[in-house]
Amino acid sequence: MEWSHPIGIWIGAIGTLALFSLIYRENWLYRLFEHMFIGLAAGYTIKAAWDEILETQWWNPMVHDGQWPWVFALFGGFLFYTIFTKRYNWMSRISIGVLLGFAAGQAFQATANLYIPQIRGSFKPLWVNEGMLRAGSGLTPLGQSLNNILFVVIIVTVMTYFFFSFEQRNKVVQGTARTGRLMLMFAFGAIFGSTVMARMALLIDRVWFLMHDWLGIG
Amino acid sequence: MSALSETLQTIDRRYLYATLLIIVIVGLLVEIPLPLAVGPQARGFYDAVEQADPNKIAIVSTLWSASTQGENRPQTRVILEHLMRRKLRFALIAFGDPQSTILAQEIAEDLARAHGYEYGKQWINLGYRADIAGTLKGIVRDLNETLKQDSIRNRPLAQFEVMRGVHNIRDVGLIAEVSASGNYVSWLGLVVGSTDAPFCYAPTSVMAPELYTYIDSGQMKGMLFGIKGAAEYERLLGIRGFTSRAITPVSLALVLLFVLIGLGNYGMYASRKKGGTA
Repeated sequence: MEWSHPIGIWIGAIGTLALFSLIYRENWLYRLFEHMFIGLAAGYTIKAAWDEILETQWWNPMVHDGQWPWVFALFGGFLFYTIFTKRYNWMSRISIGVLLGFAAGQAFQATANLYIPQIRGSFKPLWVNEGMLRAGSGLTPLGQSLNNILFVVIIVTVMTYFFFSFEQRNKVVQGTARTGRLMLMFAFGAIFGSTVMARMALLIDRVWFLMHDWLGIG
Repeated sequence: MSALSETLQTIDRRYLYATLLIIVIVGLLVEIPLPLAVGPQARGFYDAVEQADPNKIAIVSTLWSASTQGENRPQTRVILEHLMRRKLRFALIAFGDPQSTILAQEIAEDLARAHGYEYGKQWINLGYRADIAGTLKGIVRDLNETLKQDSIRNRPLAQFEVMRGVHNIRDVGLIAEVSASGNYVSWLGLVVGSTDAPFCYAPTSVMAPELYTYIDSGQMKGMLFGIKGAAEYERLLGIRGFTSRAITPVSLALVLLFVLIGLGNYGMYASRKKGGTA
């Protein structure tokens, strides 16, 4: 350990150890640093919102560049706060309605762009020849065919599982839905595994910081 | 047998944490040559950067903070390293979390020194934007009018050499997003489709499994699967950075998890067999 480290390394190391102290048991040091981190993040967000958005895109054009109509944005923003009064809360619906309109229009475009290529992509040939292979896929025609068959089986079984419009009494439908449920379990297993990997990566990053940057090991 | 099954289910979690910590420290200090195969997702990302038009600018969008830097920092680093090796112009832009802009800028400045990249000439920081959808809709039509100025010198974008000839999304040769959130929905929904620029994504491992469908449909040209993806990219670039070292303890920790799950399940099974309540 070098005492001459920059103060930031020391604060980072003490903060990391304080947060990890929760592993042993709940304690006041953990809570102190937890509150400090939350406060820092909130404060930083407010400062960034002013510096990078409000000042440059709203205040400066309005005050310095003569674009005075920006003042109406302030009025529109204040309308949101009328939701806290019983008498004027109807006014907040004006701002909320405008924002909802924007969001709905954007969502309409986004949904189409997001899902239509996927629906198109789910139509796959069950038998693939050499000419149909995607460049650089590294698969043989047989391998790609099996891949596509597996894809179609999984999409059909999983969609059957989520088909709730009628009671699933037929044995074939029941079996298909059960297979779909099994496939979902595989997917959840993969998600769990990768979640663990993500958490391990965060732990390793902090351990490496303590070892390498603070203690000078490794 | 019942004592063992009882013990397996009542291990103090602190012993497990201590074991994990030892494994991580040993994995970081001792070089254990575990195999690391480069997957087609990381290869697709690499190829997209290799094939990006050098006359166009690359956009590197970030949405991460200190809480996920274990995965997102090395991802950002390898992407910027590759862009600089290829001498591509690039612009950083941050969404969602304002920490993102300064963290990515820190990495870019560090690499720029090593590669002789000059701010304003070869790269620029477009700063943090809270409104993702509005900003993306805007840059499709007019990038300069939407973003107006950079975040380091606060000067109009048109004054920077790096922005010459860049008017809208059609002048962008590559879009790469490093994210701890689902921002890909906005990029795919509002931008991809309006441009020929390939879209590549570097998410945290938590998000990655649900994104394979977008690779399959061709909407994403490549993906870096968390820390593993960053390690694969380091291999493709021929460098040995933090992730090449960190991927060993990740693997060892996962093996520990398998063992503990196995022991826990065995304990529960044995306990039930004996008529226990577990």
